Amino acid sequence: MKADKMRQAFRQAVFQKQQALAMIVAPDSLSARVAESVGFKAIFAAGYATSASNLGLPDRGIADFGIMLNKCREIVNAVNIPVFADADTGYGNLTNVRRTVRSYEAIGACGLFLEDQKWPKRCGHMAGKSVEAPEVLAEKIATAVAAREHDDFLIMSRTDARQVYDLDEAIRRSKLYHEAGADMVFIEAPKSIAELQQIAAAFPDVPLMANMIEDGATPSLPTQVLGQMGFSIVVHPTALTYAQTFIDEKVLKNLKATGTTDAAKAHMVTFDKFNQFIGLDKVNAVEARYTPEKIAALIGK
Amino acid sequence: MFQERGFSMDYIPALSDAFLIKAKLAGNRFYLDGQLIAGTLLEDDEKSLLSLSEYANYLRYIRLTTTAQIIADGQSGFGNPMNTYYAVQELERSGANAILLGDQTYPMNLTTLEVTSDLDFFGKIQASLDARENPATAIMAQLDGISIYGVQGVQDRIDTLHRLGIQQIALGALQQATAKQLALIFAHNPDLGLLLQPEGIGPEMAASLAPAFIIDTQVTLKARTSYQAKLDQFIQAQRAISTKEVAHESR
Repeated sequence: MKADKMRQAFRQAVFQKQQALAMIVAPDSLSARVAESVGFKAIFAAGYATSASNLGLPDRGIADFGIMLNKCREIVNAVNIPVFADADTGYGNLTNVRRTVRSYEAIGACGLFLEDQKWPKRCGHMAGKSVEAPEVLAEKIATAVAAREHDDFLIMSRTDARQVYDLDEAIRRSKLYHEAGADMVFIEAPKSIAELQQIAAAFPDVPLMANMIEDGATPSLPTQVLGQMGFSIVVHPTALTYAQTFIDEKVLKNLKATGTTDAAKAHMVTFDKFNQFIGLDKVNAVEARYTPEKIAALIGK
Repeated sequence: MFQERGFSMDYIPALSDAFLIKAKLAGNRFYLDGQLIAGTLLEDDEKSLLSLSEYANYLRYIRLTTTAQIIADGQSGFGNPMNTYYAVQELERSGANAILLGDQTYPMNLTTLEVTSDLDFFGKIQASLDARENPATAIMAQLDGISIYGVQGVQDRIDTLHRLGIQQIALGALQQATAKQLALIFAHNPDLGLLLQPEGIGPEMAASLAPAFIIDTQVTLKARTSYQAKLDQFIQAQRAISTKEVAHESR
């Protein structure tokens, strides 16, 4: 089944040591399809992009479980590569965490992360974050691990303690979360290359994720460099949201000013190319398989 | 009632409420009836008002509450065979173990019976079979048109469905007036099931036909009516008590 294959593929990609897995956050199914078509091997369904694309709001804990789950489900259904989920704080207490894990597993996600921010959370690179006591997320991680149906549905811990306290506290917490059962570790918003190296050194045998947000707190490094440093996953969470906003604004300003899209066509795909990309031929082929003539022949009428 | 008659059959209740399903009313398998869901969500029993995505969303909630087999209500396939193809994919990945597909026109109409052409229906059946990811996901057929295409039409459709590989077939929209015809069909097709529906034949007659299985939407809708009446009594009684207490306190 597809979900089994996706979990296995993700696990394999995360635990192999050759190179870091480049994961892109897709704001929607279309961008996920684009990512898949250019060779990305995994998609991340995450809060910053979903808050923006679904609500037109910032990542400040307003996009809830229902919105996040449904977005992830749509993306899972649209692509044939693994989709990892941002499950924020698990959306409440341990009962919520159980439901969150069961629901994401049921829709075919390959895993999820849970974080230690206080709700309502905010983007990891925004100012003003606060975190729970570490025992809170440790208990959620243990609950999530116990709730999953498949061992290869991977659970990642995320700590936001770097900004609130310091890197030592973030590392200390992440070790606790790993001991609680987290398969992977994510320390959000390290502030320098030295800090990234410290994280890698602290977890030599645990898959780590690095988050490359444009203009964020962490220095931007190529995926290959982060892989050599010891990171297993490198995610770009905002690139497509920013690119879409940029081009939308550019095209719309021009349309508003000129009344046509002629000047913007150079930045667009064509009607035919888009229909081909989005799979019109495949859908038409499905329809063509069940015409009255074909069915009459099938049943010998 | 059906067990008392001295023969065994698979009795499949129509349910939609997670509490009732959890209370083991579902048994081994149950029918997640679009009509019940439409009544709850839309205050209208016309199931065709529910789109596929709305129904599938509800199905996903229910899927997480039970390990019982869920027969999903595929209505009449939500459009043409291409729509049915994608509908079956969506229902399967939302947790359906089986999908019941009817031969009415789209959109299905509970008050006015119209059946689609046999080629359109068999196209939808074939599309359903092709769309499944898991071959264990059962495609079930519901034939509603006995009053339109008659006994021979039913038999022809059953024969074609068997050739396409459909094992579980149920007759719906059954009326008392067609009792003799029904007896004939069920006598010839021991694997045939039926839908017990609000406006159709009663449980006594259904049992007398000795179907292989019964999907019962009738009893659940009757229970809903009686529950509404009971709840109304309780609420009226509570209102009366509250009004008395308020009057007493204000004295």
